[in-house]
Amino acid sequence: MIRTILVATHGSKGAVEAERCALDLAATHDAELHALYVIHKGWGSLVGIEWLHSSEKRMDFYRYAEAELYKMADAALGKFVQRAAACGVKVTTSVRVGDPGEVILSEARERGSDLIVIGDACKGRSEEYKAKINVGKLLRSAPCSVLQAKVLARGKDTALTGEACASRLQGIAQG
Amino acid sequence: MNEERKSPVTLIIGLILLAYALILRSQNESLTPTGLVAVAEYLKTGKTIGTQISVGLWSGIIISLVGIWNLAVPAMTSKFDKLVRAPMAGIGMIMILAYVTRYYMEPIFKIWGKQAQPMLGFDMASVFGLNYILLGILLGIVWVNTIGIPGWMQAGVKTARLAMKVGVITLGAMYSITELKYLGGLSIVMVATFVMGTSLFVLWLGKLAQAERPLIGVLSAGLGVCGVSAAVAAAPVVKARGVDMAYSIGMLLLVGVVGLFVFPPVAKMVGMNELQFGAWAGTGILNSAQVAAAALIFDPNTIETLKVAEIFNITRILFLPFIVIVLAVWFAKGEEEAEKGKVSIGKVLIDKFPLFVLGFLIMFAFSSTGIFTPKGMELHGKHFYKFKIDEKKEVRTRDLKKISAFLETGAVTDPKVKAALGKLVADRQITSAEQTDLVLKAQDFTKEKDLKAAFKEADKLVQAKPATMEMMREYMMWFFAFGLIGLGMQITWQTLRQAGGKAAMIGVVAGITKATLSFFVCWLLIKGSI
Repeated sequence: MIRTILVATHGSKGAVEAERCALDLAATHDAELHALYVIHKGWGSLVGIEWLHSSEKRMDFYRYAEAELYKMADAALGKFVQRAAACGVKVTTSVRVGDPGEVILSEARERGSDLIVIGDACKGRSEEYKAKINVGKLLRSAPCSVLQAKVLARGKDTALTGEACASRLQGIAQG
Repeated sequence: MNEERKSPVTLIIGLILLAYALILRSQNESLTPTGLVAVAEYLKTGKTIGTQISVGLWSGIIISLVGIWNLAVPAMTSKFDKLVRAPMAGIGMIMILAYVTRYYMEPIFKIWGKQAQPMLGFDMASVFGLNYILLGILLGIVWVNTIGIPGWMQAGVKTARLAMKVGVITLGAMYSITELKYLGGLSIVMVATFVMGTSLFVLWLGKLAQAERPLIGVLSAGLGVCGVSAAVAAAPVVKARGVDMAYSIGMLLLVGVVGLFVFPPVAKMVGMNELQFGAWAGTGILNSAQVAAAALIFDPNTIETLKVAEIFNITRILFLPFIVIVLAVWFAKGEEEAEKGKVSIGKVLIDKFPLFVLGFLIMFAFSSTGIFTPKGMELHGKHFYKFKIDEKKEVRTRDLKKISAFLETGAVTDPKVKAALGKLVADRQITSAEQTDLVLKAQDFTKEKDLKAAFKEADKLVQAKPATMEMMREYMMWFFAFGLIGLGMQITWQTLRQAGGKAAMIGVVAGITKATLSFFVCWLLIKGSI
C-alpha cells in the first residue's frame, strides 16, 4: 500500500515526467504527495577560483545567487502545485540544499515515505545545475521503493496513468 | 563539544613540517651528504636547503603550537579562532604540497625532461613548463577531484585567496618608476582595446546566437575583463538567473584552464620574451589567478614575466567597474521603463573596486621611498644598483682597454653614449643610473660579442642584491605557490561540467579570438624587454 510519496523535482524534462508519474500514483492510491526541490550544494563552490573581491563582496554574490535559486525553486514547485490541484491531488512542498541523492534519502526517512519518485537524466539542454544523482547508491540506501520515471522519445504518449507508470518502473523495491 | 574540533590533525601536520626541517638541518651539518641532503644534491636543490629549513622550522613551530591550542581549547567561537586557528591544518597541508612540488617534483621532472630529450627532440619539462607552479595547480586539481577536500582542510584552502592578494601586494615593491610608467602605458592601450573589443564582440555574438540578455551580460564581463571575478561582479547588475551563472562560470573556468596549459608552451615554441609573454598572458588569459600562474609557469626563476603580467592584470581589473557600468546601462535599455535609471555610477565604482590594488600601489610607493633597501641602493630598470666608488666594482683592465679603443674608432655617434663610455674608462666603473642605460645602449654601436659582454659586465658589477628585497621575493614566491595550489583545489570537474549551451559556443569563439589576436599583437608589435 502506497500512502506517502516523495517526488524529487527541479523543473527539468526528466523531473516533469517524475511529477506526472507521482501525480498519477498519488491519485490512484489516494496517497499523500510531497514534492522536494534540492538546490545542489555545488552552487556553493561555483566561484571558488574567484579571489579578487573581498569576502563581503563574494557573500553579496552568494546572497544574490541564493535568492535567484530559491526563486527558481519556488517557480518550479508552484507550477507543480497548480498541476496537482488540477488533478485534484493535494501536495506539500519543501526546498533543501545539499547533495540531491543524500537529501532525497534523508527527506524520505524523515517523512517515512513509501515511495520515492525521481526523474531520468535527459539529454539536451538543461535549465538546471548539471549533476546526476547516483541512482545505484540511492537504490541501495533507500528506505523504501524507488521509481525512476522514463522520458519517452518524442511523439510517444507521455501522459501516464498509474498503471502505465508502474509498467515503466525502473526502480528496485527495497526493505 | 564537537569531535571534529578535537582533531589532532593540525598538530600532526605541524610536527611533520618541524620534523622535516630538523632532520634536514641535522643531515646538513654532516660532512658527507646523507639522507635528505643526498637527495637534494641529486635533485640539484642543495642551494635551497637553507630556505627549506627556515620555512619548515617557523611554519612547523607555529602550526604545532596552534595544533596544541586546538586540542586544549577545541571550541572555536571568536573571529580570531575562525581566521587563524581553524585554517591552520589546511595551511600546513598546502605547505607540505608546496614543498613536495617545489623541491621534489619539479627537479624530478627537470631530470626526466633532460633524459627524454634525445628521444623526444625537445626538453618536455621546459617546453610544457612542468615547474612547481604548474605541478602545484595540477596536484590541487587532482586532489579536489579525487579525494576531495576534507572538512579540516576547507578553511585553510580558502586562505589561498588571501595568499594571492599578499603575493600581488608584495610584488608592488619590486617595480621601479621607469618600469611602472612604461608597462602602465603599454597595458592601458592593450587592455583598453581588448577589454572593450571583447565585451562588445560578445554583446554582438550573443545577439547573433539569440541568447538571453542576462547570459550575454555575464559573458561579456567575464570574457572581456577578468573571468569568473568579472562574472561575479556583473551577475546581479544584469539580473542573471541561476542557469546563466552556472553556464557562464563553468565556461569561463574551462576556457581559462585550457589557456593556462596552452599559453606557456606556445610562447616557448615561438620564442616570446618575458615582456611579450607577460603582455599576452595579462591580456588573453581569462581568469586573473591564471594570469599569475601562466607567468610563473613560463618563467619560474625570475619575476620579470610576473611583473609584466600582473601590471596588465591589474590594469584590466581597474576596468571592471567601468565595464559593469556600461553593462548596467546596456541591460537597463532592454528592460521595462521602471528599471531604468537605477544605476548609481559612484556606488558601482566603489563597490566593484578591488581594494587590494590599493595595497599594491601603497607597497610600490613605500618601495619608491627606498625603505626596503639599504642606504645608497636604488632600483633602476629591473635591477638594484649601488653607485658608491668601490674597487670591487671596477671593470677589468683588458675590458677597459677594449672600450677605450672602441671609443677611438669613432663608431659611437651619440654624444651622450660617448661621454658615458669616456667616464666609465676614467672612473673604471659606472657611477650613476643614467650611465648604466647609456653604457648598455652602447651595445647598439657594435657587433663585437666581447665588447657587448664588457658593457653588460660593467652594468652587472654595480648591480646589488638588497637582503630585504631578496627575502620579500622569496616569501612572495611562497605566497603565489601556496595561493595557486589552493586555487587549483577550487577547480572542480563539477564546475567545469556546467559549461554548455550557448554560453559554451560564445565563450569558445570569443575566448579563442581574444587569445589569438592578442598573441599576434604581442608577438609581432611588442619589441624589446623591460
